Amino acid sequence: MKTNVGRSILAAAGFLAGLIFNGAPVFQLSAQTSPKAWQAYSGSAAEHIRMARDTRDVAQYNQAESDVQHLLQLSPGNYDGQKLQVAVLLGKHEFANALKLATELNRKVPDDINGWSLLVDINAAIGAYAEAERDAQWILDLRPGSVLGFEKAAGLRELFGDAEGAIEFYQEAIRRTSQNDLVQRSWLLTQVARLQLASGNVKQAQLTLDQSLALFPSSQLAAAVSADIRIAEGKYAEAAAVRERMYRGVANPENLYVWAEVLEKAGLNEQAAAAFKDFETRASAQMNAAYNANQDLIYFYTDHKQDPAKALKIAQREESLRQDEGTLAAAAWAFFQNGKYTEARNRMDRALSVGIKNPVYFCHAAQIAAKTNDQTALANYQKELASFSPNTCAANLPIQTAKEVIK
Amino acid sequence: VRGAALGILFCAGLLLAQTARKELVPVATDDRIKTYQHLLASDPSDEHTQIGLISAYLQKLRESGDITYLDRASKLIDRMLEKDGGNFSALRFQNEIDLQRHDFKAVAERAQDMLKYAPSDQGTWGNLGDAAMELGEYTQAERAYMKMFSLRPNLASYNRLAYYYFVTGDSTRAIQLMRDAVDAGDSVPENTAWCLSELGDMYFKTGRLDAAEDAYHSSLKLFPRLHRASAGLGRIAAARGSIDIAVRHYERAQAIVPLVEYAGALEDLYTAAGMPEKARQQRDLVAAIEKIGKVTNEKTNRNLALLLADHVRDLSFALNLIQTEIPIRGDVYTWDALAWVLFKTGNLQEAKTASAKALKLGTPEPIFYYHASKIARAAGDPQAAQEYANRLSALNAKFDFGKQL
Repeated sequence: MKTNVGRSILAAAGFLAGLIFNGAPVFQLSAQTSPKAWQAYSGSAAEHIRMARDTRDVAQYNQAESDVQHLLQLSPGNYDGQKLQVAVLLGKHEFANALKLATELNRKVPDDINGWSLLVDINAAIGAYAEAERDAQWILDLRPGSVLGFEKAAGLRELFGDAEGAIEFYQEAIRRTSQNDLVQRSWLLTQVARLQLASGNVKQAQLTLDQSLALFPSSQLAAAVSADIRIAEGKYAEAAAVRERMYRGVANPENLYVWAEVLEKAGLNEQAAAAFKDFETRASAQMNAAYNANQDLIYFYTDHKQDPAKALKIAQREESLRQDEGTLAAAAWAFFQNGKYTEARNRMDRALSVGIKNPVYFCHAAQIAAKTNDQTALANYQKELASFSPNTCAANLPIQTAKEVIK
Repeated sequence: VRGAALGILFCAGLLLAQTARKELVPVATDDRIKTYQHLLASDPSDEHTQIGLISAYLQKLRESGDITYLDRASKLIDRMLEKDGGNFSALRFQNEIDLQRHDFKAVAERAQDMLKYAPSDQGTWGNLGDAAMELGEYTQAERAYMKMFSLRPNLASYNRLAYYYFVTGDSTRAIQLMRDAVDAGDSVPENTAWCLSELGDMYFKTGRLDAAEDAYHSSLKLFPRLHRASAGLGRIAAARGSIDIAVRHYERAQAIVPLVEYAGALEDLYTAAGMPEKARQQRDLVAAIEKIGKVTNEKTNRNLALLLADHVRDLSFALNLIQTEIPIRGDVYTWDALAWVLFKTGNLQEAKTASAKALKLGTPEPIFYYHASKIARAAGDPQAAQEYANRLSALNAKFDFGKQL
């Protein structure tokens, strides 16, 4: 089961706001028409990174990487170019290299809030949340009232379980973003819609999403939230249609996996099976690459193919690279499915200690608590689950009375 | 505590870096200053804390207009540069401080050095252009601003090019570029509000009062404490003869930052409104500012010199102030101020020469033509006086309540 719809919330593109104007590349001349100007490559790379944030299409990062290489050839050591290089490394999940370069740049120019924002993104991606929080606070301190500060802090507030606080900051960011920056305004509105949906306010989420789509009708991220709204309404066939369009637009394993899951929910079992099979082939092929669909692959092996040993192997590989809440929760579930409850408990506790309110995590955590005979934890997770839709957790948990849950 | 997050510190209510979540919040500038000072006391060489404290001091300066924060920031920068003379962040802050202190030559020289190492640093090109504008080196300013613009067309570069074109006489282009600056927007609303206010000034000076009013209102909507937008509304009200409304706007601007020009405007408005006691209070305030300037050995203050000349008070001090300013700030505004003070002190021929230098670029500043007309008439050249008066009428003859031909 897909657990983290909003995993892209901290994708490094917010810092590009200054490089983009009117939702189009800043530079009228493209890299093709003026190949000698490093600024043209900078504008082009920035646009690809921004598109990658919306589509999660790694091909965009590859194109950005090529632009950055040209840029740095024309202007060696160019500071803007190096920041773009960090964003590309992060996008391609080369976390160690991204962190090293971002830290060097931050040492050189410690008053640059864009440098701090890259550190927020990298640290959040690898699970270094205290560092990410420190970096975001630096942005808020150095440039009070900046959009970047509100945007980064909102992303972290969500991770730390403060959805209301996150919405508040995203709305502040929207208020302060230029009316002409349609893509950024749309992205911020989509974040608000996603959070409203997560808190069960389906109608409000749709209204907010409509505003977002009016600004950027072809947004893939907004389409994803639109599909989630359809799911919340029980309109699985419609959700599957949206997800299919997304997959046809960006044919990556992540989009394929989500589409397959929705097909299954819609009762289109044959199509779902074909999509899952295709997903397994394609995700397995890139399993050892830095950018991969391994989290989805873990859940595929635990929840669909019933091959927990494979899931655990992939989970252990991922754990060795990053310790963010998504990786830890997936690993917990893989350990659980392999009957290793203590190890599962350890990972899930760490994932939830971040503060994130994810119903799927709570559902898995409750099952782990039940197996480890921790009635108090079980009751707590059931209490958390009670605030979400009753269909969120289909697991056969020990039944508790309302009185027990409250207690 | 390297790079300590202030929100964490404050939520704990202690100056200790405790683990605490969900608190990411903007921190009040005074609190930031206290915390950074405390952290720096325990680790005086921590560069991140130094940068944080400098940034907080400069923010406080912007919020309060209290110049002592400039000195505090400057001391810290000196310390950082003593340790590492090539510290880029410290050099950028040093430029900001030297611009505030009107040491434009130092900024121009430093920026040129910095650009050898960081030719793509847009902010440094901006600093170079700003310094050149103040020095009256307009060709160099244009080059720097064009470079800045080619690096990144954004609010900062549109805004500066707009100002350049206005000063060099192309108000149509200037207004269009300032609109572009507003449209580009900025992550800090205060910056967009600032551009709206400048757009309002350009409209006002070229006689488009309704458009100016809209721009000032938009500016205040975005950033209610932008005093110059309140003052802009005061100027419009005064031009329309609504003295009470003008007073209210100027009082608000003065309550935010007590600039000497606001005191001058209020003195005139209170006098016109038959409120001599309040007018006297404003006069006393200007006298107090003047006294402080003398005690602190203030060498230059263009606005004070203009105000003293307007009200024919302490003219020798005014002349001294502006004559000292010319060698370090040779822009058309300083030449105009010199012309006016020279005129008021009876140096007609020198005033005429200075006025010609102020007018050389065709800057659409009503006050330049008002001064030039007065000087020409006094110098026995009624034809030139009338030409300047006509130019003034074509712009905005009601640009200043106290200055009607």
